[in-house]
Amino acid sequence: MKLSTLTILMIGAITVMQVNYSNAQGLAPSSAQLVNLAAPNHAIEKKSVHFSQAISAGVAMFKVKDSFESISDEFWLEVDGQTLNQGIELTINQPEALIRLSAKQSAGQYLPTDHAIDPAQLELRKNTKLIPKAFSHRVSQEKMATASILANSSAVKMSAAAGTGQFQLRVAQSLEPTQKYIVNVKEKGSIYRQSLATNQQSYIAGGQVNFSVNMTKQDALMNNIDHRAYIKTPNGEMKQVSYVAVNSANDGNNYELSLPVVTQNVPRGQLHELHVRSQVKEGNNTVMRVGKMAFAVAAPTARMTIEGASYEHASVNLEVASEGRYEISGVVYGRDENGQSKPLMRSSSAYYLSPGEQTVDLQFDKNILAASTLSKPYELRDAKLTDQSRVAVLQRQSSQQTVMLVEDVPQLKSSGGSLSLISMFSLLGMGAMLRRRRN
Amino acid sequence: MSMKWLLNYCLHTKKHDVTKLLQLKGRRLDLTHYNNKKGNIMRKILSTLFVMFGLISSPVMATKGIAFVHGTGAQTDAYNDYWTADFVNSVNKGLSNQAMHTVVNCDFDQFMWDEKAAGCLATQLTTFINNKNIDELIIITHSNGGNVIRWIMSNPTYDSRYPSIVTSISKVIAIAPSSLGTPLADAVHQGNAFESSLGWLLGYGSDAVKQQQVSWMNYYNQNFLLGTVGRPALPKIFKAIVGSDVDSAFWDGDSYCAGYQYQVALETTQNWLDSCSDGFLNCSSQSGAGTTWFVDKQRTKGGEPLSHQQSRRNCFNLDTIIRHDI
Repeated sequence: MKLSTLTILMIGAITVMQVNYSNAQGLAPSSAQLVNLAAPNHAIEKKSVHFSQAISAGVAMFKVKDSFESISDEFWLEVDGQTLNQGIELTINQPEALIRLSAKQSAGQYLPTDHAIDPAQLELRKNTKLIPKAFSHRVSQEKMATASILANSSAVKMSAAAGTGQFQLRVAQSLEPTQKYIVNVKEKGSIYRQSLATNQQSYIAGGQVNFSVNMTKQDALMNNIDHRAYIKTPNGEMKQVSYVAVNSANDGNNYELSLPVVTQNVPRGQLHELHVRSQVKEGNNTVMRVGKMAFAVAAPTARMTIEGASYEHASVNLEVASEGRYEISGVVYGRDENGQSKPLMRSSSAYYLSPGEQTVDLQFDKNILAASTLSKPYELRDAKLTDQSRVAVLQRQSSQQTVMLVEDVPQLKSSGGSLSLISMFSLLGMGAMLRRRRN
Repeated sequence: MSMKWLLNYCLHTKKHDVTKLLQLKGRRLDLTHYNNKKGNIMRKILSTLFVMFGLISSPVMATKGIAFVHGTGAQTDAYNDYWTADFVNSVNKGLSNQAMHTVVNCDFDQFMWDEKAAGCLATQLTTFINNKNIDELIIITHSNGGNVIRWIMSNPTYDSRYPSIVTSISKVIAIAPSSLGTPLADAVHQGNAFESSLGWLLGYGSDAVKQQQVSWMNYYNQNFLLGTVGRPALPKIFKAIVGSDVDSAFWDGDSYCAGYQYQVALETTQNWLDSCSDGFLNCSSQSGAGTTWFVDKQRTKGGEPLSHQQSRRNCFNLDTIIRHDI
């Protein structure tokens, strides 16, 4: 995909803190944030498309959730062939840990399979003493490859007799000195775990990102942990990012770090990643864990304001800054016999649009509305604006934001609370249209 | 003998009325809008006739077809290379006309929304639906194929061909779908992407593997895909078959179905997975979208588990279980 040269200045802050797993907050770019990107050069639908689907009766209100938690009981290192031939130090904290060794491949370069490490050539020492039956299983590159999963990889499972502690792992097979390898130690079932969490995975460029990270031993929080954070961009660049402690009423272990400046558009639908390497001293040993999580950073190419809604459609004002295909979607709720709000229809409308102010409809299916056992008042909730050209979520209403559907005249109440000039004109236009229909 | 002809012949009613009567609502006969003066009497006669012909609860004049949708990888001959003829032909016996099937060949090394992935799938499904006049499409997916069809079902406005595909689908039988991703995809992408341990053989790897990392799928599920917990349901049935274990004991003949060497590798990969997994996907991922039809041991011959390799082969009666659901 050809990338836009637009520079997205994204100096946000990552705050390491306790995450409150409540419903996701709304997401909305401001007008000032909007950016003009080049039109997508990949195939994209140009026709307007509308779709509504009925939601079964009895379904509870949807919870807009955008949180994620990663639990890690593993770590990985990157080493070269020369170092592996000399031997590396490994701290193992879980009996019968699995060690995977994968030869790394540079993008676009062919890597011969002979770069894989023969597991029969692995030696494990403790206090310089060779452990004779160190491994209970040795899985060769050929066997790993049959699963069509990890190429140029081999693995060994440590024997129960080898125990835990500080080891030296050495590869006897002569390796290309500069060839890079990933050494992945998986300590399945370990009492030491790293938790890396966020309450939101969708961001607009320039926004602030919140994460929590901690280490536990048998579910009890550990102290004096050294966390190192890295950001991996969608194009594969990974950089360590520095962080500073910030005051917090939570647990005193909060940090803030700045994201690097992003100088190019994000490849379609691809995500950034936060990697955190956590290390803590436990007696004479060091416990290491690495966790990672993905998050989206959308270029703010458009924003929406819902002007009002009838039983047929919601009228949506779009400020389009970049040419592309945009979808507005939402869920219509009605009331059950107990007066409880329940979803009855999910609707979406998509348009290919040029930059500028646009008023479009989110079309509803009146037949679904008529067939529903739920009754009025009907409300539009969970409204979302998506840039389909770039597979990015641009705007999402919070769970509390609703727009009432009125039978004849669109309601004035807008999600943003204020009525813009555009809204006024839009309303007047719709009123005139309705009058014409009556006549 | 068509239903329309039968009604005309038997009841001597006007063609217009019968056509109106035959209007389908939700693919079942809808008699409620029949407002002829003799409506009540006629309705009773018709109901009796339909019961006699065993047609009252069956889809009427529906043309049923099956599409086999492969998993991760760029396929050019999925019939032989991904599914095998034995599996496809055995499942097809569930069709009254076994010609009404298609085996999809697309590049599922791409992200699900890519023109070579969902775009290609939409092209092949649309051609199949139109050429064969399919109005009851059963889609059988394996692994990441479930995500690609979920993209189409969840984003009907992305492509003007999607709505008619969604309308034609009667159900998706998702064998071992990677709905919540897999930690193995994370393992593949540990480290820097420029030097990551790329190169899953046979076309595996790349963007599709990146997409199936656990936190990536979590994002896509929450923002672009339907059918997971707390999200609106998919517009059509999506029912999963879950593989729960890998049997690799060399003395056990069951380990050899679909190739013993695959079983050995998958047992190793289980170290990255939960105790309930098919060697590639956790059970929680396989049952993470839509509904769970069954967990392998509940229905397979001998209560055998289905590894990720075995769940696209004639292993332990999987083919006949699916056939009987067609």
